[in-house]
Amino acid sequence: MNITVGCEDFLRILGRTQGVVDRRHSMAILTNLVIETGAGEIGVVATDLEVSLKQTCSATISEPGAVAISARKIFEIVRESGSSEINIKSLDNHWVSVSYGRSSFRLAGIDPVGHPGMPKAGPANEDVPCFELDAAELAEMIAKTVFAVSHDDTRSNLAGVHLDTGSKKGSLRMVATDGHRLAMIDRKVKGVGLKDGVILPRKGLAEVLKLLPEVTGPVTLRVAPSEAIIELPGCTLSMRLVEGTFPDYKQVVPKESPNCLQLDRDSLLQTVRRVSLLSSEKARGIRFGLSPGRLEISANNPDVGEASEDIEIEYTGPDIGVGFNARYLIEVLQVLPEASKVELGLGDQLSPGVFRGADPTYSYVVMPMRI
Amino acid sequence: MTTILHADMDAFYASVEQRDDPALRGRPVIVGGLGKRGVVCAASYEARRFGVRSALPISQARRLCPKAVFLSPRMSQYARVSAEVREIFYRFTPLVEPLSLDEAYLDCSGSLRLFGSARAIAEAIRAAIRSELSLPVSVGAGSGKLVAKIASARAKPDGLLLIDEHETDAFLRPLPVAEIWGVGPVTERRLHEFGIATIGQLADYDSARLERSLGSWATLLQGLARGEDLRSVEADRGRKSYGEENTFPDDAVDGELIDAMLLAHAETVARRLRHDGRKARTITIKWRTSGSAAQWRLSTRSHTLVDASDDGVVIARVAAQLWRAEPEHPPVRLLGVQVTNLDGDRPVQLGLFRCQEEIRNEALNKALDQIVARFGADAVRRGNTPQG
Repeated sequence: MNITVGCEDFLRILGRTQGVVDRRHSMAILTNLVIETGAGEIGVVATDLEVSLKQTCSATISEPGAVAISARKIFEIVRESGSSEINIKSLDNHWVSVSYGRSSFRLAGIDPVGHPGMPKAGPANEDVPCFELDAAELAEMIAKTVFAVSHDDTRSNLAGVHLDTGSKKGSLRMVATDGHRLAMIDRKVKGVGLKDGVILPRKGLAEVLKLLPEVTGPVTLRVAPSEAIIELPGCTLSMRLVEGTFPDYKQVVPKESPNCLQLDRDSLLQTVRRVSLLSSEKARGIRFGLSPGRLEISANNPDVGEASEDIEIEYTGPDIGVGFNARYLIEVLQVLPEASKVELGLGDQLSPGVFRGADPTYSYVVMPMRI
Repeated sequence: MTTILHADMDAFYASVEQRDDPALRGRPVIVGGLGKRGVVCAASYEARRFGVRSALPISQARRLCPKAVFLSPRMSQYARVSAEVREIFYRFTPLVEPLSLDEAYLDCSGSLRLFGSARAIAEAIRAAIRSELSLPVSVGAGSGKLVAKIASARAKPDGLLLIDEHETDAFLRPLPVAEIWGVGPVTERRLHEFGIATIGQLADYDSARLERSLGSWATLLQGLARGEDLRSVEADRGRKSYGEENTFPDDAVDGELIDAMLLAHAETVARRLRHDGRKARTITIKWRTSGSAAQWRLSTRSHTLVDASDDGVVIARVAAQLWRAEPEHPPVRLLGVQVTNLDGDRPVQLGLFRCQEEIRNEALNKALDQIVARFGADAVRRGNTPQG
């Protein structure tokens, strides 16, 4: 193989592979990426067997072929190049020459045949449901749910975002929960054919979220039996679906809450941040005390002290006191748009609180904390 | 400045008996096991004049003081009175560390401004216990636990001894090393070999030489001898763990027997949790392997659940997983299950989902608990737990 590629495009492609390859993986080949030639372009493939990413960019192909080299080293070499073009050439015994200007590098590569490459997913048909949706909308759906995914290794069925068709035809729903809080969003999409829900892994979605801001227009999402594949211009990302049964989430989203408050997103976020400074570091418990005309948010930590803050509200219902983990509130308020109104529905101290933004198809359910 | 009190009830069990039965007042009272092999639990000061003291065989006590009134202990009554005493302590500080029914450490450092001085607190505690409970108590006070405890022993009976920080050295130095917490007969003998008999000699001894002989333990001992007692008062208003363990008559090698014992222990622990209305998050298994003395070590493995549980099935599942995850399974002579990280110790995050299994087991456990409450612990058990 012998190719010449523009550094700017190539560096961007290599940067995106850094989150995908697993630097500590026991299989050495997975710390490498594969560069292979196509018609007037090169493909760059990286995988950790869970998430696989293939990107293409135009290049001058002097001699077709493929190489496998350290994803980290080639990224660093190109990042430091300061050059506009770079030449990559395969040598004997899988050694790879990388050169630009007066610099030349010789990298110890591996036989690219040993690299697993992209998983094979068949073409779109009835068994492989395919959706088309706007890149910005997909990014919003992921951003508003993925933070609620569980980090607990023992609950693998919660280690991803659940994807199903929701209640209405022609809509796609994402739901994420860690067992304590749950985020759910619906969006209209074209071409729905998903019979059963699937679970998309957190890492794959995090990588998609990095790719999407650079894209405008529609992207496609295909759900194969064991893979979900997202296709963007010049880029295909495949993620292995999480095995397991997602819990029956519909039963835990309250249809309506008895006591609804209209709050200003920015000031609520600031208040929660301030008051939680004096909550205990581990549990982060803060208390919402609701009385007519007034919401008092308070925290106390026997080792440090107390904090409280009042918010004037329109409320005429009964007095309610309920505790929440401040982190769960801060995380949802952060993904709601700035300068917007949020609705917070509260029950008693054992009932979930429900956040809704201006967008009626987004709900966030958070269980209280007994303080 | 740290101010620690050590409050020690005088001849506690005997004093309670004398208080509850006026006919016993002024007479020698001995509380203990009255059988052949019984020992003295407590002797009133009238009995102590005859040389009767705690842990003496009851037969010997009868010879020394034949006129004494001998009584079996009424533990539930002592526990009740002990709780009343503790409530008095809590009026002065939340930092109370009970050592047993009749003694406790109190950290009064934060209460000095409120009550004036350590002496004022100690006197107020003694007066309250005397007037409200009609019981004598001795109190020692000092800058650390060691000084406070030694002081209370010197203050007995019914006294108060306060050791100011600048008096600590002068107070400790002439005392025999055996007065230090942790110095038993073995350590005492080894210290004597170095020519160390008093606390002062221990404080002055060359640290490096001592450490070569006693290891890191020497640093701690010498610190105590120099009055540097940094052990804090471990306040605790409730228990922090539940555990159950057994020693096998013959070392257990059988996987099935181990699994069955883990399940039985998990069920017992879970029943106690439910009885007290608590749940636990951390599950620990411990075992002692058999064989030569070097292998007699205690091993532990723990796992922490996301949501606290009081279900024996959940606890047993984790316990079995921990055991199976071990690379080797040598013969076991002791096996135990313990739960810690109890809820109520800290805020509890409620969960969204309760799976079917959880709901079913909750109903089953409730039914089991009712049967056990009516017919005893042996009335019902799981088919795969061992008998007896």
